[in-house]
Amino acid sequence: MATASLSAPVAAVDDLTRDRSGHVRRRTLFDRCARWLLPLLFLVAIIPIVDLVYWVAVRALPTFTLAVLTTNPSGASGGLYAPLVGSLSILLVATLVSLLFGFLGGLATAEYLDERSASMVRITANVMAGTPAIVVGLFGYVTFVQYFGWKLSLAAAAVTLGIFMTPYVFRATGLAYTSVPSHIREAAIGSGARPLQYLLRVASPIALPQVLSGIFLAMAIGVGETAPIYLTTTAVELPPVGLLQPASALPLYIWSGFQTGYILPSAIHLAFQAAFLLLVIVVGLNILVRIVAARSRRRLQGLFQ
Amino acid sequence: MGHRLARWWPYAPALIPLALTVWLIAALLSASHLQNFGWAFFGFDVGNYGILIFVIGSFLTSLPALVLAMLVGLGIALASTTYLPKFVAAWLDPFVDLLAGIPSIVYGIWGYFVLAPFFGQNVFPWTTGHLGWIPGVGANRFSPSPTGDGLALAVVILLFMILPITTVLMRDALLSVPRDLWESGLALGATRWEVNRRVAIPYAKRGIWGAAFLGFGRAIGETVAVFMVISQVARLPTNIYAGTSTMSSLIISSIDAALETNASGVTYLHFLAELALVLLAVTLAVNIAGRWMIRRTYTEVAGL
Amino acid sequence: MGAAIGIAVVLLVVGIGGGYFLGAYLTKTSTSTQDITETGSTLLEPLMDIWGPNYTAHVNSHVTLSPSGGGSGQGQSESEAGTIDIGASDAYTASNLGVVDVPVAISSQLVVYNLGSTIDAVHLNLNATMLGEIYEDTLTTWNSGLITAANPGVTLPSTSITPVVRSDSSGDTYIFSSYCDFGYKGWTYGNSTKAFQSSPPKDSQPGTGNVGVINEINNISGAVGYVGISYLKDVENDHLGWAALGDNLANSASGGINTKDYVNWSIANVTTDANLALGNLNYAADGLAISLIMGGSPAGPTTWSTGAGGTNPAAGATPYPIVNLEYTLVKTSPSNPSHQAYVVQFLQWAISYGNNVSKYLGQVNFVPLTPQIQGLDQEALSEVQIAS
Repeated sequence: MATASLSAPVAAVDDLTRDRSGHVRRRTLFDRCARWLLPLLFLVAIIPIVDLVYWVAVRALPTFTLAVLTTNPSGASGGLYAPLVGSLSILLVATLVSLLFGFLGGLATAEYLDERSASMVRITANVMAGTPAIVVGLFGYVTFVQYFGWKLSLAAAAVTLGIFMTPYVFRATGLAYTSVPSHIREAAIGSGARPLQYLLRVASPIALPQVLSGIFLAMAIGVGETAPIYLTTTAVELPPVGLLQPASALPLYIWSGFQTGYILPSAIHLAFQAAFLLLVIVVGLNILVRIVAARSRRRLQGLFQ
Repeated sequence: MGHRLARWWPYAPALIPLALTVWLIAALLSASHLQNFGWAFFGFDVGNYGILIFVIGSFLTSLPALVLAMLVGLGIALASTTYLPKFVAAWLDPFVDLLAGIPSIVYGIWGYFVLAPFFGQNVFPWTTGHLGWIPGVGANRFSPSPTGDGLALAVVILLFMILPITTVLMRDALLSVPRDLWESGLALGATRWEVNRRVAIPYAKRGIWGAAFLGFGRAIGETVAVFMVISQVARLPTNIYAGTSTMSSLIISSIDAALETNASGVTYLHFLAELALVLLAVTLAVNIAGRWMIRRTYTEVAGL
Repeated sequence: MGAAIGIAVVLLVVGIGGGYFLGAYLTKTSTSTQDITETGSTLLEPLMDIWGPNYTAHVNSHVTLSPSGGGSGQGQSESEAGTIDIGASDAYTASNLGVVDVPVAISSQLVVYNLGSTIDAVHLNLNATMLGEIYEDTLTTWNSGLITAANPGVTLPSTSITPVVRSDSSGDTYIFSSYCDFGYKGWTYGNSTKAFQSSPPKDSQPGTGNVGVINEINNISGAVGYVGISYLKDVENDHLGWAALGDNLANSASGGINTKDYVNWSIANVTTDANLALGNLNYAADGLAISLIMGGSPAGPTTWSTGAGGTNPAAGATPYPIVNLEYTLVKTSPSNPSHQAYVVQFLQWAISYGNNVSKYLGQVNFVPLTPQIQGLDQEALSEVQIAS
């Protein structure tokens, strides 16, 4: 028997795979270019963040002492105690408002609506999330400051901001409650749980961490918004004293520093310090979002076993 | 989902988003005394309360920013899903999300105090010198100004602000491509670039278009940052560096004139309310279109 | 475990926020600090920023002033609504809406230009006709007949003139457009805070805020614009020139060649103008509704018509024409009269001690009120209800 020679098949395959026209090389070139160039585009995202944080820090930190956090603003100088407390107070009330509207709404959508209505409601909520902040601010001015007669107050600013934050809480709640694994839901109902029991005892402990991360996200968005509070409250130098009294907020000081800062240069420092403080709060809340989201994800995975 | 309940009131909260939106529209409608200005409202004559300049300005700032954000975002999404090792991507992706978290007013002061001088003194002299032959990129008598603010800077700032939404949505769209489709492309000898180009992107086309619409909606609605860098003037820009005006920047810049208690102030408030309704209508239309497009590849990404 | 941490974090956040809120509320009640809220004109805000801390430090440590710069419109509407205690406005507000106008200072404006260091060192003579034609786009180059005739000793370049306008609605626009409105017959922009916003002058450049205007003028050779007096230092630092302004109509009508009719900015000249205008005040009929532009008018602001402003000052008098009374608005029937007492006290301090040039006004280059206005202010303040 003649030993089969491999040379012919090898030559045939060789022939087939030889890059005669140079196409393969060009195609690999494209791919290699993409592999190195595309990740560079991340720089377009990274450079602005680094630059922004750097510049805000450079202009804010040299004069940033503990006194800034504990003294009230005084004219164009002083500290940021009143705006900081004001921002947090407005945020607190706004979160409660957005919980009232968004949590209940998201819960009802997730639990009680059929698929078609639920998706329509979700579209409405998502569309509402796209409303420009200035439109919500103008709405807040016309409705709460003028029509309801609340005037420039903590309440007007907080409810306006709360309405702005509602879609995010709504979405997070809906997601959280629909991601309760169906076998758990069926087990609960099969065991005879009533809807309220199911909600309180079974679904909520599973869903709440994810709702929480959504609330923190809404708060991170809300604390930095200027337009909803610009028209509904005014800068005061004392911390808020009542719901129907004006409350200051950090974005207002940044805005006024931008407008009039040069005559009294301390106003620009105040503006950058307020910006720095705002960044710290926003980044802090975003970190909280990730921690809570990661924990809830881990927990959910456990439930699927 | 869908317990059948005997009572109606647990269903009621689901109407809240709709109710709030209707309330918002109704309040603005009543504040605007619709048809106060007749059809001149949709014209060019700003003195007669015509808004066309502002509508065009909104599009002139948002569309270029959107195109740039789509290109960069697509590149980042491709890099993140197919080219970078998973742990590297896991580290880099949060940076893009961080861009989304920065408040608009902080973008504004950074844009005005840092970015504008940089562009005005370093970038624009180069572009007018070397690219000035392209229509619109050359200098004219007034622009670019060394202070840097104007249309181009507004586009740059908007690019950074909508990059997160386009990137994340496109990443999700690409991730929704079935794995076996991907792998069969590779198995046939295509490079990763070719699989992306001919398989993944066409498959994810709807998600990508949805990302475009949603990013556009976000860009049009952006107010504070745009106002601070756009050198607002009620005029169409003469080149890419000139100042112009958008719907939202006009509202926030002249809200004070609308608060005056004389007759002209009251009319102006009507005008701004009606302009806000137009802005809302455009944003709603774009957002509805975008959400409808991404509904299949949609993984709910909270915050966008 | 995760839920427990989550709940703990929520409690922490709510606790901090609520704790701050409560703490501030409780602290407030115990020391009973009275806070006077002020908003409105951005022209007056720097002065309020100076007055506030000084008032708390030297006069009454239980009273703080919270100034804010929302614009004259907000100052008017919010003071009428009683939302804020003091509304600052660059323009007089009609008195039938439950507020009194209490002028607290006199501001002025510079017309700034950029024509190179030689000409910037001189104060070019410009009048309302020239400025009106510049902004109406009928006068386009610096070496035109009108301007050269008024500036015989100066060689003007053939640079085109670029008018600079404010991009946001502002009191500075109101003041400048008033000067042009009262002084130039062909003025079409009227006089308001948003005069140039609807249809900006054809070859104009926008600047955001006074600083933006200064920057634009600095960057464009041949630019001219209007800047609030508080920014004098910035104008000087940039080595820009400012104009000596034509102060009366006869000057404009005769082609503006009488160089004696151009008045340079100085505190004395601003005071001269204010006194001249206030001599025409008809308090009984118009209250404190008076414009100080161009020496005021015998007939009062309600009867202004385009191109009809200004008086002929006596020989030797040098009134600087762009001058404005800065008004504060206070509600006559407040919801909290005892708190209003503090507001009135502050304003009484402001119009007297607060008008000290070296201590306060000098920092923003404002001019003190005349004794006549101070007296009328006291009368107006006496109408405010301060006891229930």
